[in-house]
Amino acid sequence: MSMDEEVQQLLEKHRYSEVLEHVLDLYEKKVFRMAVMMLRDAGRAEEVTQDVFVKVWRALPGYNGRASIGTWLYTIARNTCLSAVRAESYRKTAPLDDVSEPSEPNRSLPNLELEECVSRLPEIQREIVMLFYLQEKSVKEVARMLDLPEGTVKSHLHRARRTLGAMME
Amino acid sequence: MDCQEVQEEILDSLEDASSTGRQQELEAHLAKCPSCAAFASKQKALDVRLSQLFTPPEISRAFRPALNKRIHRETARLWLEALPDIVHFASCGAATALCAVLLPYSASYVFSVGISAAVLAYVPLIAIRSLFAHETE
Repeated sequence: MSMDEEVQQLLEKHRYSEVLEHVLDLYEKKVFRMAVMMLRDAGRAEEVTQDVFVKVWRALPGYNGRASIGTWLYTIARNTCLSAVRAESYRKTAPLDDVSEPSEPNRSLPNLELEECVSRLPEIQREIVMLFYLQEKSVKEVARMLDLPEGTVKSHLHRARRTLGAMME
Repeated sequence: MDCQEVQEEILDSLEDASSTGRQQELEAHLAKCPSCAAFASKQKALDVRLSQLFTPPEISRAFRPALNKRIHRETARLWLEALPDIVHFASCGAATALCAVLLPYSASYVFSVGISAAVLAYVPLIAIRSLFAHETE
């Protein structure tokens, strides 16, 4: 029996606590790593991960099973993380100097550290690179998290690798 | 296989080690093409460095207990929010039942008891709401 079928059966029996346990076992780490990627702060990411699962728990009675539980959960997680990021940026407005701009693909930046190079990638490529490594190199998982086709994730990843390679020369 | 294809194959292999179905062709190309060989070794080194840079962080052990606590609080809060309505519904039901019991007696008696019971039904509602108002202040 698939995870979704199992969850569906438990939901029909209104056993929400067991559903939440299942969901936590499977997605807790993944959602946390997604939050780390978006918030860049493990402590804050843990708080936001809690918010995500409280929202999931509240919304479980209304989950209709049209989307897979993973897709549904990642939508909640992404929106919660985005709200947290926005709230953070309201609190502390970054000086203009700190805002990184997307780099040109073939620009060579010899002495730049790798982290700095990654931060100079276009936003989508940066997110995909970070998620890919934080999610233990799973293109499929990254695609589900960002709600993108796997092919798109791969092509962003390829472009990012080529850009990083050029930057590191 | 041309250089472009080889490089794409190399990048694919970094995402999925089992993806290089044309391993022999790839190796033959790398043996005779220094530029693709350099690309391969650079990308492999970059992959290792990126893996080191983005080590998946571990969630703390306190996460689950803290989450369970929050969910218990949330459940209690939902019950408390519904409590005034439950109490009000129950007291209205009791008032209606009392009126039904007194129905065989005189109409004015039923009317006055009905009015008093309806008014009294609001007492527990107001008491609970004011109690919550104090707690949330």
